[in-house]
Amino acid sequence: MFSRVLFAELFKAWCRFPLLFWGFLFIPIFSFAADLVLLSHPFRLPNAAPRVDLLFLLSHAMEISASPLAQVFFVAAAAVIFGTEYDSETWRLVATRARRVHWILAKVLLYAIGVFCSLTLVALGTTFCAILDSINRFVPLVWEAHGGSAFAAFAAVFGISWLELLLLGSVTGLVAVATRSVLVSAVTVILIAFSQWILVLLVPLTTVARGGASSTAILTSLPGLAANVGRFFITHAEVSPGLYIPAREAGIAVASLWGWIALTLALTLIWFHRQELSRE
Amino acid sequence: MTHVIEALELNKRFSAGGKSVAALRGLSIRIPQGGVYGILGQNGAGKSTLFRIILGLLRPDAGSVRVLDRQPGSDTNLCWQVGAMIETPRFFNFMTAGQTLAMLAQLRGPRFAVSSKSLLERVGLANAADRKVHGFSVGMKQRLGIAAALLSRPRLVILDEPTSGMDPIGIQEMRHLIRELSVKDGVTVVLASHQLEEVAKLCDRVAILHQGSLRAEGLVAALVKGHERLRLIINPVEHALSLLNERAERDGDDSVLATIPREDAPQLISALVNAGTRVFEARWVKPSLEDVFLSHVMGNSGV
Repeated sequence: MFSRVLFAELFKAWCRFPLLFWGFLFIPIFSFAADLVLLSHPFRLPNAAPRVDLLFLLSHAMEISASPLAQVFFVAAAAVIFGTEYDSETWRLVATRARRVHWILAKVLLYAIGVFCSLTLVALGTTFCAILDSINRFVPLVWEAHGGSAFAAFAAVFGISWLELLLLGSVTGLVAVATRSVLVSAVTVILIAFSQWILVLLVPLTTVARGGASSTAILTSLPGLAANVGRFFITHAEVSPGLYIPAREAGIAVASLWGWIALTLALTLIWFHRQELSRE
Repeated sequence: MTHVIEALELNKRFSAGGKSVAALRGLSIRIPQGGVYGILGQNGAGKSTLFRIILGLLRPDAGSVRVLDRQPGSDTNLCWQVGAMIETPRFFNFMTAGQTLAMLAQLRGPRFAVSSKSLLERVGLANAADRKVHGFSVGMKQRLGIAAALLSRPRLVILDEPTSGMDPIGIQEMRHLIRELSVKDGVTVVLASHQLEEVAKLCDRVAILHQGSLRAEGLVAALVKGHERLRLIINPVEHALSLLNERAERDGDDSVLATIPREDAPQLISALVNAGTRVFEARWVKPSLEDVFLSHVMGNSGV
């Protein structure tokens, strides 16, 4: 039964090209176009590295999930996915044809698939530009990670970014169900995301890298920072000279992201299950 | 008699503008299987609230409801046995009529659903299959809503104002379709409508709701018969009025309408004649369903 609901959600999205374009295609296209512009910029060449580190570039590209500009588009997509039935008053048409839990899970999965495709396209665009750069400058293209598989490292960074955007979507879903509005949920979550972005800028990563109770509290209360910490750990990047993110902190960061997703999803499911659809 | 819907002591309140408003007040209703059942009531009488509870979109504050012997909202199989169109049907404006039905058919499982093409033909929308719903008139949306309700070959169809926004030909077609559903397909149709003439033509039984409670229920013919009145053309009318007190009212210069049991008519006429009243005509007047409805919801004695 769930597969049918998921198919219905996918079908609806397929019939709605603006949602697919602005929600999940625009950011990869924009990112690719920006990469191409940077590649062709003449000022870039003098400072260019003697090699093209694909993993570094991909990890950097995946940080798009932390960009407030990109988040605006993903939040808009999530708001439309979760709030359409309220705005068009169509719950009366579909809610009686399947379990309510299935509808919410299908929407979460649709958004998750959309984000996955979006990040994949960003990665493909970055890879294409990296290859182009390598050919253009006659420098080697390297694909290696610190002490492990480069592919595993990329998959982990990709996963962290995917979780970060998934959390953004599930928060939007919760607000859309609670407020019964696409617009209110989009505006609310964009403001939340922007506030979080500022807070993440204000909290130095060294606080987290040093560990302790305060680091745990910060990581669990700021999922945006948790995603950054996760990415720093996986790419073995220095927080400050000689200081790296400890494995414990990285674990807490990932657990925090999952925890927030589980919490918001559970609240959305409970809320929608109990919600009276006397009006949409 | 088997019942498709059994509601017992339903109570439902909504808060509106800080006030709690009762939509249903201890409503009990049993709708038998087969035929066309009409639910009549003014706006706010509780019709849509009752339908939404039946469909599991709302939960009652108190009371219980069973639909096809199951509890709505908890049984996934039930949702395919009940087709519904609640209030003004709403659709995804970015989809065509064909896409809308295809999506809903997918939810049912295409194997079990009626083909979209045949349904659109049946409701008179065959030529609009590829048109976006956004450009549909109210009547066309009504037709599409009915097609959506019939998609899963339901045993019970609930239609809220099915002919609203339709032209006279559309109304006639819809009446024909509803009759066909009931007679040919054996579907129980429950409909709410303000068009009492339509209800009288379509329905076998009706229930009259007023302020969230049941005022009257039964076969249309029986309800109408129970409100028959004796029209007397007499002279002088004052004598009849004083004789019958509150059971009669003036209906013109020389006419009186008497609310009396049929078997009391000879005795009444005899009494009038014996009292010197000249009786020119005595005739039973059959009221319309509208008259019956008004008498129940407004306490209107002018039936």
